[in-house]
Amino acid sequence: MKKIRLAHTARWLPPLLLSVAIAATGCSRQNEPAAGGSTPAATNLDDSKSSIPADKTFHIKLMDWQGQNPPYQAAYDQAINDYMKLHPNVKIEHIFQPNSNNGYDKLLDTQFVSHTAPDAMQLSGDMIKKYTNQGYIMALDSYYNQPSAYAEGKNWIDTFVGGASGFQNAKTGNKFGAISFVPVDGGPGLNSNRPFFYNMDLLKQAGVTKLPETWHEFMEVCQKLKDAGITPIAADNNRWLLWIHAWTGNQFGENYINGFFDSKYAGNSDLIETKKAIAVLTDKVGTKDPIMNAQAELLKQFSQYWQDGWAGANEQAAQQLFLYQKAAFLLDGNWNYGFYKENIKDFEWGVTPFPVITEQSSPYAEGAMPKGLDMLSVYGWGLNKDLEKDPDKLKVVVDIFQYMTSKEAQDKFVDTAVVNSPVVGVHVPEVLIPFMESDKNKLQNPAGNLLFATANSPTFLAAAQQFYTGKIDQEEFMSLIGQDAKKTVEKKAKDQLDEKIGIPATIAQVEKDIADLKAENGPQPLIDAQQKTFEALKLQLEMYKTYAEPVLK
Amino acid sequence: MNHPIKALNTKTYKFGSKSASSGKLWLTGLLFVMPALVLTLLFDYYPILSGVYHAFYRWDGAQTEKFVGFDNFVEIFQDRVFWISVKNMAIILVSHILLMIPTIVACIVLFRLRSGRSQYLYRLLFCIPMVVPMLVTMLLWQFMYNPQFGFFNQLLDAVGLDEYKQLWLGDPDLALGSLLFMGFPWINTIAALIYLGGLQGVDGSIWDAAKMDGVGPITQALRIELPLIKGQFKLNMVGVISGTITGYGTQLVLTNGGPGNSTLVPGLYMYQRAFGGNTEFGYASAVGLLLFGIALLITVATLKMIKSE
Repeated sequence: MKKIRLAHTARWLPPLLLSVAIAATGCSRQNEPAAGGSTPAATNLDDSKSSIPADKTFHIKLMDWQGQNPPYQAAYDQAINDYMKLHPNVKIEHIFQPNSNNGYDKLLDTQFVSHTAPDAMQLSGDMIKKYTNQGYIMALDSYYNQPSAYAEGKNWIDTFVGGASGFQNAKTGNKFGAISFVPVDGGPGLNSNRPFFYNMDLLKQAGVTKLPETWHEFMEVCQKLKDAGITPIAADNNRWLLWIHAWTGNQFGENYINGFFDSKYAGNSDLIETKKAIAVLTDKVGTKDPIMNAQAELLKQFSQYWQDGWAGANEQAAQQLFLYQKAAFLLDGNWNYGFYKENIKDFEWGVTPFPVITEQSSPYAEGAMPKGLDMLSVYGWGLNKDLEKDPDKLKVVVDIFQYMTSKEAQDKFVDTAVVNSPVVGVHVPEVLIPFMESDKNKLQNPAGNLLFATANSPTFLAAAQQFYTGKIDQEEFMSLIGQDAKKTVEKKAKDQLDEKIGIPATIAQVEKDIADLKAENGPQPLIDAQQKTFEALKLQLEMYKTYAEPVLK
Repeated sequence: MNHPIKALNTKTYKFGSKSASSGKLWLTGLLFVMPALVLTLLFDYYPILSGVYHAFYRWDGAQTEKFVGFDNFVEIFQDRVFWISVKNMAIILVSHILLMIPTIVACIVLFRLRSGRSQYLYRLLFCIPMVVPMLVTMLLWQFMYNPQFGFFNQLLDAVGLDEYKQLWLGDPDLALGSLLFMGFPWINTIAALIYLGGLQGVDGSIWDAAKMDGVGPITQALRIELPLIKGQFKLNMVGVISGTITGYGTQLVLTNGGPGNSTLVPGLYMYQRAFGGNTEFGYASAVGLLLFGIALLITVATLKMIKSE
């Protein structure tokens, strides 16, 4: 009987074990208490005010795409290792996830939904806006308005270039008006110039003796190269189109948009995006707009210098063209400077600032580049909102980023990564000068590229590919872009006016947050920040009701 | 008188009677099946049903925002880019169906090889390319099509035909054709093995009878071999139809739908709308539902048209 009972049990066991195993795969181990907790000795940085618990071990996951950029990867690894030496009870896993073919945010999309996303992750501007609006990354305003453990008592936000005003773009970029990222690599002034990497040998071969400074000179150089049988520009069908439109468009239409609205809305940087959307919605900026058309004409003329078959080439193919000395110029960022330095051995190369478009090239050009000195780019690290469920872990993650954005850590970081810093007082590596803002960066509110930037990215790219390969004419190009841009802002305007999901709902939430803060005697700077957000949201709603609602009806 | 020997500890069962052990047996079976059932429901059926549900919503992928009824579908029918993608898909579908022919021809030729060793060798040669990941193959083709460095233009240069060099994937007029040319000579290994299996399952007396009747090779192919593999053809046809209508991997890797939407297909358009800057998951779900409907209709119509024998 016993044997039979055992046999019966044995029959049940496999499916039972299998079911238990499947159930157990959903569980994950949380923080384990360390055996003994000793506060590590501080090194250069005084972390005596660091408030992370010393009696627990923490496993933190940070994800980025910097594995593609060895100097950046090295800089982050260095900062992470230095932090772990400072806090041996904190183990940081630095995860590399490639960003090509949208793989990075596709992974995050699924990770956020399943609550398996890393504790913090590097994000581009679009991703920050998306994940903030979706509620997956934290608003960090309250942390920014408190002292950093690594900044001698200064509020964390004041350690960044421009202080609170440096984050203005960040706040207008999402529906909550919140700062939801930490900039670690790349300070203001860096993205004010996207230079061209050039092949000096090919330029000499074509008889070019002076690097171009203006757009007109740049076209002359390209023509010389073309006449010498050398492809002037290595272009691709995606990033190149977005960048060349942005960097030319930002040299047109200074304060153009302000002219369409009541003067009481002028000079308010919180309303820039609202004004742009409404300008497109109400056809103030439409397909016949002279500035938009001027930009399109300029680039159409320029497109003759892009390599044959560029519309079928991706970034890597364009880069290959430059590396194999088949094209003289390549538009690229400072993050690849180290890569080129390491890999280009057989030709002389350099970096030259993006040329300024003067009236010689277009009557609508401003003759200057956009100014960006006091504004941080919306790019950095987001903190997973799930961290709010574990206050101790959240403290650690905030501490990590306060450390990484300390002056001392940043001084080491910029030399390794070849980047400038978002933190005040950090030196700028010499090789970065061509990438940095100069006296040519003067424009505050350029409006060129507005229509192209408002259209959906896939629509814009498809239309641009057809236009610059000669498949459609300028009128059809502008029509495609204009229709899509208008459709996009119509949807956006309806959403913004919606009581449940739009600005009214956000205003109600911010009002509640202010009331809660006051009731709990919260920090005054935070209340002030929220109040400012509240005022800005009210103005935005007013603009939508005044200008957009009549058109939507 | 014979009595049946009754073994110890056995029970005789009458028809229709229940017993505790049959209930336990059923439960045991269910427990074995349960993991597969749960996983299928969770990872196959739930996403499908969720997609159908969200097709009627404006949804950004994070919070279900707004019920919009059929608005998404109305927008799809008015969307010029969607219809461009459908046109491209139709061209690809017809081409893929026609490109099933080389596989069938190769199978018939292979089947007729007298030598068993030769048959085995060719089957092996057919199967070896399968070990190369599809992505690697696609990237190789992309490189071959490169206008500056690629194999095709360099070959044309080498044979003195450089005036025929093309932009291939960079030319909106040639890009779709270039994608269709990929995989030349278009012999699908899996399909080939399915056809071979079908032919080898046929009674050998048919071939003997055909030989005795003096049936020529082409007549034999058209009148005997092709009708006999109709069942396998239907199976492969369903795979081609559903794969073509819903698939977009090649376009995503090689061209991203460009240049200028010339290689855009509905599956890729759905992906771009879902994961592009505006994250329109609701709209993308509606496109997905529509694609499912189209694939189902075409498959049912095709199966009705092709009757197996």
